[in-house]
Amino acid sequence: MRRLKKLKNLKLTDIEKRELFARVERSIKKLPDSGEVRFEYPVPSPFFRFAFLSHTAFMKAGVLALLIISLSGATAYASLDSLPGDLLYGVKVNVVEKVSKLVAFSPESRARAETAQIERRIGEFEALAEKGKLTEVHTRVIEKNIDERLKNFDRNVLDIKEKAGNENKRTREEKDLDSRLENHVENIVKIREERSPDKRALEAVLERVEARRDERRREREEHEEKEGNADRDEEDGDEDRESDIDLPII
Amino acid sequence: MVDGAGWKNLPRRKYVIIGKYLGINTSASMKANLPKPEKVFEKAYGENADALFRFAYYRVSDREQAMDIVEDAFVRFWETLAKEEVKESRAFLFKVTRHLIIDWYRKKKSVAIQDFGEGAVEEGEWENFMDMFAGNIAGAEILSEAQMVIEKIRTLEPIYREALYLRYVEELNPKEISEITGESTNLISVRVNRGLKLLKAALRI
Repeated sequence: MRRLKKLKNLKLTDIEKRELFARVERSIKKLPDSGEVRFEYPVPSPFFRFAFLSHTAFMKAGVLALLIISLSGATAYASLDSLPGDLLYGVKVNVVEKVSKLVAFSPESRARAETAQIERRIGEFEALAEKGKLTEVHTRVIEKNIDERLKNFDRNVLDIKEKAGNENKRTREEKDLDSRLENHVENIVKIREERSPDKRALEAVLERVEARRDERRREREEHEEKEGNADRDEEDGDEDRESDIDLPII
Repeated sequence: MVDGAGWKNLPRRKYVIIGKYLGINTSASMKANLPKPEKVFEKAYGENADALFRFAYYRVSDREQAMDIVEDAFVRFWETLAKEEVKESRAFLFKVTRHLIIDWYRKKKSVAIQDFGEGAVEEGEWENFMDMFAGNIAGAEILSEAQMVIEKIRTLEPIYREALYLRYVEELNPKEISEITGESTNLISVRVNRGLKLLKAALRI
């Protein structure tokens, strides 16, 4: 009953309200057993200024603004589960993820954010394949995004290494990304074979994993070679010792 | 970890349970934790002075008289508050104001009887006699739109006027209204609904 609320417009003026408060205080002080009671005129809280919101157009504008803010928050939240081709996918990639990176100040945290986004793209690729909705266009969109993320990741890793002063040692962030990519590689290859018309998909991810595997293989071989040499040297030494022993003393 | 001062700030239920386990008299501590009566009073004044004034004015139709009634209501509120905790300040203040208005009408009527020898009003009929929006409340302070609503409310029976006023103007819930008027919540709800139907019919909406 909005019309009934019009009756609410009748109020004490500020002067009347203060005057009435003073009258009440005087009457209370006259009471027996009132003691040394003291009151302070209740000053409206600083938030009281927003009381105008309960009126007419201001209220409507306020409600509208709140609605927009809450809806944009809800949109951002809803967009998190969107996939390429969905209406909210653009919001997720171009707004939510970019905003989340604004709060990453160190190269380490930026690298971690890129890792998370790369993994999310791979997740989207797998989800689309599972739903049978993976198209060439979707694959290209995801690939393009992953390429960008990987470039940014490498740039941040370089910064981390420069900061640490050791450019040869692999960073924790690199190890993390590699292990995450490794977890998906089998699935990606399977999807690529079964769904991609040209048998190509997420090449950058596969190339990176392959490169890492090669690197590890080389390291292992080098290590084995070193160990082999050491064993041989040891064996040679033993032989020498044996010959020393066996050789007849001249 | 429950330590010295921090645990007293816990919600009441947890506070009492923990106090029981620790063997502490929580009721005494809770009392010590209550806000000062002065603060409660100041807050109640800030929040209710306008509403009480309006409630009184729409009945006595006199600005100065309405202020006197509100003054008395707050003095009585303090008298109670100084002795004990008042849980529902708003309902309490409305109830006191309502009684003060009834008293004012009684005095006014008895003066009228002495002066003009009018018929006495039976005990219990005061509430109908003390009718909201019965007096001449037209004036600069009442907006023309409000005046139109008042005219329509006047077409309703007195019992509906008060119920509708407290429910839709002061936005009190039926339970609070029942505390003020001393009638059951069900009866108040029925009055509000019937009153609303009648008012809608009067406003042709």
